Amino acid sequence: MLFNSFAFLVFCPLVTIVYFLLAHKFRWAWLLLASCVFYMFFIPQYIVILFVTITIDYWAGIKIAESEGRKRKTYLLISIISTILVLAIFKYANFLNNNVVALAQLLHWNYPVKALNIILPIGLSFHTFQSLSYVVEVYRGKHPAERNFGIYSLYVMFYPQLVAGPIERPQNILYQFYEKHKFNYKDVTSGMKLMAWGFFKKLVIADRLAAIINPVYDHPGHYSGATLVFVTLLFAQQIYCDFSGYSDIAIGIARVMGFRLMKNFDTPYFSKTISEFWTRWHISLSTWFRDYVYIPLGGNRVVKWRWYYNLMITFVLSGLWHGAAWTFVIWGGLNGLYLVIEAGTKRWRKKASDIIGLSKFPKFEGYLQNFVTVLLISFAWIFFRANTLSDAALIISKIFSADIFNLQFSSFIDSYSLVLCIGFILLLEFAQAYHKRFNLATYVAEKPSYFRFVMYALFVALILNFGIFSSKGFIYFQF
Amino acid sequence: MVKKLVLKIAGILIIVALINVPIRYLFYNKQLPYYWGNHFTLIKRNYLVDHKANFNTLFLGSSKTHYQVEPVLFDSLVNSSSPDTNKIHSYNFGIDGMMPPESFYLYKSILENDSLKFKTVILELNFLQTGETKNMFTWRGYYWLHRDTYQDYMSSMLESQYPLIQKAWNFSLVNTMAVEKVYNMGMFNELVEFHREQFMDDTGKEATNHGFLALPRHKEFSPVERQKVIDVRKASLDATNNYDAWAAGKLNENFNDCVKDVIDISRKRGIRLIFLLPAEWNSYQYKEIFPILKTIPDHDKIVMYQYDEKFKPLFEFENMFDNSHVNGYGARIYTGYVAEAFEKIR
Repeated sequence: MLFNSFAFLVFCPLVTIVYFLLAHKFRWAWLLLASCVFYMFFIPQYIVILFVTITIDYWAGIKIAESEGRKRKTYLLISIISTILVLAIFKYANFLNNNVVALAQLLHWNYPVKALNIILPIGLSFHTFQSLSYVVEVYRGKHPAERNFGIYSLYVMFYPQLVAGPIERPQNILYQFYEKHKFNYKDVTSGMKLMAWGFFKKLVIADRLAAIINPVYDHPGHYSGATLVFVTLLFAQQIYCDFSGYSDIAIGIARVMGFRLMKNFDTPYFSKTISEFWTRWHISLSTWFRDYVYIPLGGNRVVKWRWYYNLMITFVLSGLWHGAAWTFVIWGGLNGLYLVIEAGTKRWRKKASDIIGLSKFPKFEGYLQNFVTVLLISFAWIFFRANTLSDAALIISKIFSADIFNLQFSSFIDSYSLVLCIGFILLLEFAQAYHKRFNLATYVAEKPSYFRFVMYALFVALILNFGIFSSKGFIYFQF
Repeated sequence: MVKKLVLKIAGILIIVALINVPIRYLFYNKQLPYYWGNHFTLIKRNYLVDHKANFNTLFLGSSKTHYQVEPVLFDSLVNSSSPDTNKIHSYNFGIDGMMPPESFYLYKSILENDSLKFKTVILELNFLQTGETKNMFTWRGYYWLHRDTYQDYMSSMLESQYPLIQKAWNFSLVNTMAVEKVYNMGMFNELVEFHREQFMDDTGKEATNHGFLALPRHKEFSPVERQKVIDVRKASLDATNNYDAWAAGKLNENFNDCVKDVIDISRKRGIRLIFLLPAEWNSYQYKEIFPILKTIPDHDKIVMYQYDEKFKPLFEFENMFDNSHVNGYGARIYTGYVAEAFEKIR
């Protein structure tokens, strides 16, 4: 079920109202039932896969807690392997097979294995990672094994974050399912405001941008380098609004019911370095990779070459997590490379800044760093968005070609829509940039009720009038 | 606290509606013409307006008109023995999924807004439908639903003989669309889409060839599809055998009023209005239509639903595209029957 669908418009209030009406002891069961319905709106039979992974990880969690010594590791491995196996079959088998087929063709081998005719279960990468974080935390002794199968199932399936995160840790969410959440007016209203903000980002900005970006990225050969640069910068905004919009809605829904989900985005395009960007973009995934891949590999407390290696491995895996295609692997690798270069040139850059006197103007230096960071991140998005590797290569070659100054608009109306998009993006950026100094939500909340009513109504009217209500899926659902 | 929250939400929704209603009347309604909601409606309407001198007869209805009535063939069949002054030049304004009350709305709008003149209009008589579910959140879902059509539709639908679940579904569909309208949901984008479609200047195969498009021959019917065709035959056979009993059933007064309305409008404009009833796929649809069909004089209707010796070829697999439509071969047979029936009542 999509958040931006009619079904959800009925589903969400119904689930929330019944949730508050029910006695506390029945609430988890109701939420679990609702989460199953939510998931089954996509491909119903895939709930069996989810059930199998939940059962294995639940069992493994208990066994890890009850065992000692090497047995604990064995149970952990059983859990990890089985979870990864599901991911491998549904997400990576065809990718691997396609590569073997290509290699076989190159070497004139006879390789008759055909691609599997399967569809990726929605949100598979998200809930498998959430499951993995549970068994690892139990293994590390940071969280006790969950004994209630229903509650554990709800931990994996909690519908606001089931298909696109935030990827939660057991320490943050499991205990909340045992807490009695009373109807809290403040939580409900702040949750609803967050949802409205998320819908604004998704329906008004991201989906409108999609209509401009998709035709260009589907036929990059038809467009000039300047158009491709411009559209790539727009894509950076689209993916941010799409994904952070989803996260806002998810966090908002949970908050209405009294649950606290972790923050997933923190104005990432205001970062001054790539490393800062990755602490503010998709925080739940970045911290997952930090805690379960990067640090176990040794993190930065190793020799330099090993540190760089750890960074590269982590980001290549992160790319692969996003999608089973070389474009995602290169996207991840490129971000890893940025971080390696950033780490390796830190001292030189500081020196250079001092020599040319840039460090005397810290504000200007900050803007410049931010500008470069956004450009680098946007360049990497080319691989993320391009349909194929050859498309990505074509886009890059066009960007660095002579027609870089030839900006094309296919028709008046596209530029009209574009102007609107840019206006909304500026509004968003303004709201985010001045969030700390001037919080619009707090400002409105302090005004008399008639003023607040009109402001909220205007915002809702803006979403309704300018939103695109064709139930477009969220970009991150494909992962 | 709950009461306070509910009141606040209700208050905000009322203010949103109050903001949106004037915007719609002052802006969107002026910018968007009656044919804006569907690409095929737009291109067929534009084609018809551009070539209005070429046509004096209009077929109007759903895909059962669009894919089944071949105007060039129809014209040649009915014109072979008529004098030059009485020649028929027909255009097929069939639009996929367009049933009453949408088709009635479109018919009235064409007459009122585009000053088109027809000698004859052959209007498909079909069961009440809000439009396809897939169109619900698109521009298609909005355009025909105005205050009057909403009232007509709701009262007709509530009075209909639909199974309860179908009634509830239609009720939710049409009311969701009404809410979308009240709140101008996605309206700006509709405006953008309308202008984009205008820019496309696409008068492709749907609009040319007198508005007719033949469906290809179905290669192979799956067991499920075969069963659906068998169900259609059964429904038609039941309808053929039970016409008198079903026609004596409860008349849907509101739906009938809508039918009378289009008859009145046609009469005032000097248009010969003929209703055309194609085969349906469910008995309740016939039960809905037959009491209305009975009120229409024989010389103002063409009925094509019967599963008898004559019409059997229309239900043969080789002439069908799916359970609801004939293919190109079937369309020639269907058009032939329509022409034959038309000649009798001309």
